[in-house]
Amino acid sequence: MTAGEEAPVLEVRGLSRWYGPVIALNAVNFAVRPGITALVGPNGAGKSTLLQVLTGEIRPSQGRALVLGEDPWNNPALARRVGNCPQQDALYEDMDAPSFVAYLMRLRGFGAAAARSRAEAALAAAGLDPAAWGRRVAGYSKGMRQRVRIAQAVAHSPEVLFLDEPLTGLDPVGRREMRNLLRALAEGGTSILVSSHVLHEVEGTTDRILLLHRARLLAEGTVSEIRSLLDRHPHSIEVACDRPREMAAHLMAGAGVESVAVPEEGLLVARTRTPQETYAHIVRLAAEGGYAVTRLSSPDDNLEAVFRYLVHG
Amino acid sequence: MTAPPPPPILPADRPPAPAFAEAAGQVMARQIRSAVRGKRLLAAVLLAAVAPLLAALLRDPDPVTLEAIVGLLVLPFLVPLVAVSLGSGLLYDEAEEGTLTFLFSAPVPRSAVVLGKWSAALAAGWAVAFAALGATFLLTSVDTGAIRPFVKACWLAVLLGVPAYLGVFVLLGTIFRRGFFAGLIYAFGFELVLSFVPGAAKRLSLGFFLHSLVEPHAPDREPFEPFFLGLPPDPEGVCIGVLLGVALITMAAALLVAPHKEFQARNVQG
Amino acid sequence: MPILEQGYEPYRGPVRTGGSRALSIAVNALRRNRRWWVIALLLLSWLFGSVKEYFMVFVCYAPSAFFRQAPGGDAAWLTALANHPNFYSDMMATQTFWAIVMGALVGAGEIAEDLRTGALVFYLGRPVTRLDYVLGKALAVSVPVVLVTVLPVAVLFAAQALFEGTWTWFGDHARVLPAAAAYGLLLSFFVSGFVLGVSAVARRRRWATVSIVAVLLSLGLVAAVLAPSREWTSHREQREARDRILDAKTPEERKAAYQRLSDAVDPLGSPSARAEWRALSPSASLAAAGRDLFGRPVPSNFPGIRHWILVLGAAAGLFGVLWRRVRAVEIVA
Repeated sequence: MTAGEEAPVLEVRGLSRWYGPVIALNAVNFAVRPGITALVGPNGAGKSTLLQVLTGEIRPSQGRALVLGEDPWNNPALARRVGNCPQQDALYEDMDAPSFVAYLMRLRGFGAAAARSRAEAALAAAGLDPAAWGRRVAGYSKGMRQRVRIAQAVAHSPEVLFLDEPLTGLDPVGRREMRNLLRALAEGGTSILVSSHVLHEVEGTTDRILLLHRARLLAEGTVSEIRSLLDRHPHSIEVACDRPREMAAHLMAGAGVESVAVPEEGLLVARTRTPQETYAHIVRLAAEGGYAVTRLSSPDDNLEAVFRYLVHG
Repeated sequence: MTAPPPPPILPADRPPAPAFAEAAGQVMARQIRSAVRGKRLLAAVLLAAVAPLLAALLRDPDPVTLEAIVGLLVLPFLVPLVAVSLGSGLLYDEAEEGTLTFLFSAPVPRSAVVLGKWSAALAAGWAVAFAALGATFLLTSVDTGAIRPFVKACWLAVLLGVPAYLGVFVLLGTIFRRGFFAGLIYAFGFELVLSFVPGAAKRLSLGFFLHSLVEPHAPDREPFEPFFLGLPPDPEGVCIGVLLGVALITMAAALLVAPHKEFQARNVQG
Repeated sequence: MPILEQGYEPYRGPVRTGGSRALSIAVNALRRNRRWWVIALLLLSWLFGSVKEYFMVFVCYAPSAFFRQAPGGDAAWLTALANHPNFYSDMMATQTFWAIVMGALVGAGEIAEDLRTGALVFYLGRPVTRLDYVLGKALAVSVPVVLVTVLPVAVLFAAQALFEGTWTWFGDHARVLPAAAAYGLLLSFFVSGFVLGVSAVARRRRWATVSIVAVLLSLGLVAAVLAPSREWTSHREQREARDRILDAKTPEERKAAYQRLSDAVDPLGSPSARAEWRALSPSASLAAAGRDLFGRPVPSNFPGIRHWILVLGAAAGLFGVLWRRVRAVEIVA
């Protein structure tokens, strides 16, 4: 850690966890700094297991995990500062939402009035319609139950927040609201580790990721950093212009461009291992050659492409 | 447009975690509220009603019938059944339902959660057992005033029997995922077999001590004879000491074991 | 809406008929319960339930098998017991307890867990009718019941027949196998109805098991309180009755002496003024029904067919509860 760099909020060293012959986590090492970090990976990658270790629900079989510098296992003092939204769709069915959240707040030391008011504020922030607050949770839809689970995790303004698949069950509007909530929390100083399958939604929230696959950590960092390291998969750059074939010929003359294709009229796809240089070359070409470039984009400089390349090869 | 999140709390302003007893009390209160609302209350009432209904139907002024009801139904059957139903799945049941995560994510010691749940189970167990016993004495045709020592002994047996059995089953339920079956085998297998085995082996069963509390005060000891083959009842002080000791030791063991165990639902996905 | 996926083709293969659908459900349920402790308990039930009978048959016929002596040999009194008509019916009555234990072990969670986890929707969303589902589950519960009751009887009967094997013996024991099969059927009907009916109400395996234990034990205990079973008046009379068996000169005398011993300790009888309440105990009513099937006299506190009505009525009622509870969709208010 260099001077000026923030201390990691989460640190994992040689973490392994197995259930009999099944290895759920295999020698995972990473450090997470303040902000929002996404934990992505296919089903069975070990995401939930990792979150369970970090929230102190289970112990590692080997290695160690530190949250805010402390071991989370059996650590009530640390639990004051941590929020957890588990994946399982389980709530106290006989309670209404404010009572459920307020009860958990009471267990965190808040007085009755403060617990109730913070519970209602959290439910409102999670987007649960106040008209539903009087009903028992047993009668809630999947999306409403998800909002209650998120509310109980954020009601006490934790320093570190763990969310396991928080977007499950939410409609597109709800997902946007949840992303906004996470950003607001992060701006308020909460460090967030969120696990999700919905890659484009994750990208809309953060660009820092931890990619797990088959119990191993495959990648750590921003999407661009990881993408730039994937030199086995040249970057694709799409250019929509009026004279793609002409531009293609010029591009091929440039260094770093491995191949160029014109899949359809008006569209040129270049593959390169030096994307920054190629971008600069395209811009120069457009200016010098008078090409009418209407779009310049990289279809695989995103999380889905990174995920695909790393997981499926 | 949703509301903003609750305002952040400075570390210095964050309230301290509740004290051990307060946390246990909150868990206990929530468990009791939940139990009162559920179908389990109905099942408990039905169970508690068997003995009083029998006493009411028989209308037998002979104390032997009342002794048979208490000695055969309430003490060896109702008390262990209530305890195993309430105690054996205290933690694993909630883990299977998925809500234990919330409790263990709270800044309270795990043993406080266990104590709170145990206290709620004890309150419920006492309520059912005392209601059954009380209703039986109320509805019987026997003059309970004439057999006051026996009635007092029955109250004492239930008072001590419920926490003793509950402690054993809570400990089994904490150690084993299938603590419920272990508890059933103990209460209705092991203890049943021991009740027929003559000699000192009977002291391995809690039922022997419950019956020892009651038998000396029974007006007619015949209904209790099968329980004391080859071994006379132990003195009251010994019985009280054993039952209290079992309750406290098993409870302490459960409180010590729970913080070091993982309670996970079986279908955990990684 | 047309199906746009060109690769799609409707299934045109054979569709299993209703009977085999029920069988598939039963096989699946049994496969899920094929755990080591279930098998261990099955072995335990054979050991504890029938050890006395197996020992008697072994001691009777072992000399013949190993030392070429006549069947019975020195243990003539054991042969009398083993050839007594009560032998097999008493054995099955003892095994009734284990039948209920095994049935509850296999069946307590079958309906409860299907309802709780929503698996019922998967069953009934296929071309599987409620009848297939209920029959399949009942079959699954019936298999361990039959294994615990009818199978030991069949094995012992076959072993005895190999040594006795005369037409007279077969004539005397002609009723055994059909009666055992009928008793097994009755037990299967009762145990499956009772266990599955309670499971359908409980919605969780644990509570189903507790409820089954609670109902059975409470009924049995209430019956025991109201109508305690007949007891020996003294140990001297017990010894005298046993001596009468040993002193008997002819097989008929031995049979009569054993009958007197058996009647005096009849677990179904009761000297109490409320003896008819004995029928409240499911195991007692089942044992009485079993005696009817084996052609044995039933004590006077089981008059007529009341015990049959209780057993069949309770089972039918609980099957009715199960039928109602097994619905594809719960209506949520």
